[in-house]
Amino acid sequence: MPTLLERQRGLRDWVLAAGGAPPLANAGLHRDNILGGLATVLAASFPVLHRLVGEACFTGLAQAYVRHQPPREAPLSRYGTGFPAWLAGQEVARQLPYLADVARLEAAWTHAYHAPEADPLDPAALTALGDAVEDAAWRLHPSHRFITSPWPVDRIWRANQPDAGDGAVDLGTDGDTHLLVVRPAAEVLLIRLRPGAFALLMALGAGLSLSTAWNNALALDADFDLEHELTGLLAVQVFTGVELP
Amino acid sequence: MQTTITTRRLGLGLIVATAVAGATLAAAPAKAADMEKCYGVVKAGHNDCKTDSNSCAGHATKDRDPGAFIAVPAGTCAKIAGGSTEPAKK
Amino acid sequence: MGITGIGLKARHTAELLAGRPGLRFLEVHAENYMGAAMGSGGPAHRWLTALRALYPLSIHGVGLSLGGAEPLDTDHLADLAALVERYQPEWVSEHLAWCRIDGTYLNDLLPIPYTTASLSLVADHIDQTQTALRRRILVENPSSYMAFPESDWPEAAFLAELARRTGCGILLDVNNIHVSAHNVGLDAGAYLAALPANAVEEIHVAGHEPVTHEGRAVLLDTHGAPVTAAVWDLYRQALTRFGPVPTLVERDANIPPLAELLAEAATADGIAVTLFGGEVPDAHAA
Repeated sequence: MPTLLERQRGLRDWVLAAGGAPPLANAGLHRDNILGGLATVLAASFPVLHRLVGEACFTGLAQAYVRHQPPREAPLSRYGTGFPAWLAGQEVARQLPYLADVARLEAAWTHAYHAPEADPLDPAALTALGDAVEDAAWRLHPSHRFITSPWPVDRIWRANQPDAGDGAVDLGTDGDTHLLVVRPAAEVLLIRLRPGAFALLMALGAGLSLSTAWNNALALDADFDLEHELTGLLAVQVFTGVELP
Repeated sequence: MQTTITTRRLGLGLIVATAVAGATLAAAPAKAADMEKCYGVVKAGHNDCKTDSNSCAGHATKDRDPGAFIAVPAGTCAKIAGGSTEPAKK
Repeated sequence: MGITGIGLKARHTAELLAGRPGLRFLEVHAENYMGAAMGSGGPAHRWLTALRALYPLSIHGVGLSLGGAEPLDTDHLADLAALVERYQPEWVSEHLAWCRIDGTYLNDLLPIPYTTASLSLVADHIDQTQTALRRRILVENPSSYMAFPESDWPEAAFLAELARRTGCGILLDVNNIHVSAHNVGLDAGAYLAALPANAVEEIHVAGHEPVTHEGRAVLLDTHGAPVTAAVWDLYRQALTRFGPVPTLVERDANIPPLAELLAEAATADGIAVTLFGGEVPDAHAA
């Protein structure tokens, strides 16, 4: 008789391989439940992708991905973190070249949705720094993610929400997309930034000083208006703190 | 570069203080009257994603042809116009 | 107040918080509120925190792999302990099943053969879990589709011995007994009789669906349909033997409007009332 370990490895190998005789009668019920369940999990995390390619195509992709990269932890809310990168190498992503970027946006959305809570930056603490703000390190909300794409992925995402209208997305306009995904309170925000503001926030998020971040922004956009952009970023509460060294 | 140097002389502290004032006006605190404002929209499916049932058995692996998922349903194009597979120029 | 609770589902959260129907408890799957870098914030936790203030909670784990041949995932166990500490549930439960091998998680509750060797292994895993959580857990009987030729313990005796060795309680899923009886040939009445009367601390009832798999008629534990008359009969027998044990109406697929789940909860309460007296609260009426 096989040992327990041999039983369990045997079932895993059979479930994740395509084909072969089942190790025991009815093992196929478990295989179908595992592969079907994980496809359902991925569909819940990538609803726009699911809608873009349709049920049959999505299920095929999901099952191929599950066999390529089965879960490594029991909580499944972040299962599929590697799905966008894997998808980018598939034939369907060559046919629809915006697809993998849409998937990256959905993975960022899911990350933001489940991220830890954090209180927003206290505006008084920021103004109290005066010109010493130059030396401060800025802390961004733990939910934030940055996405860039040559495609208007935010418009594709919005057009494929359940409550979206009938309008179609023109792939020929609004490319060169810079997005911030963040959940400062209860709701996930998807914000399109101008390239300068995106560069500023990336630099602050990387721990660079405000003047270095400002220079990065000006390098991309000579008309970059720090006061205006900072006003917008503070209003969405993407910052959670400033600290002097 | 000229722009950089001129603007820098205004002082970061003043710029930041003005931005804080502007942001405070912009972000009128949402009245937490409705529950979703406080708690957020619970994404259906997300908190049900691992169950102790076999609800997914029996309808999962009907199609195990590895090439089958390459076909993209026509419905895809209904929401996306332009049809180009080249990115718009930057 | 009756003895019945329901599983917390995304689409029912706002309605539960607004209407506050009378329920003995709410049950959640632990893993839906866990995760290393994620899982500590966001809407799911905000709603659960609000509802925890109104209802007792049961935290039902589906991913610990108590029956796994490899050591328990200690990161998972630590996450579970943190969740239990945060929400202070009335019950914590897991399954007599495995789902993890060589670090890979399979999204199912897979059965183990019942042998003297597997009994020692599962007992050790239950001990380790109860030590990490600093409390007793309940262990649930699985739904079975596969029969192992090496099994030499009846499932009920195996569960009873686990309870005796580890002090754990039993979460008795009467629907699982019903589908296992059909699929692998158990005697449901003998099963109930073989369990120690004082160890059953929670009961699950759920719906199942008949399918044909490779030419065999199988009852599938889908949690996707109303509880059947046969399962309500077995539930009545279970309450008769174990007393008015807190009961969960489980629904994880084809989730109906809240009123339908509350009506099923009222059915369970009604059975308890006919056996033990008392009143079914009005709030359960659909």
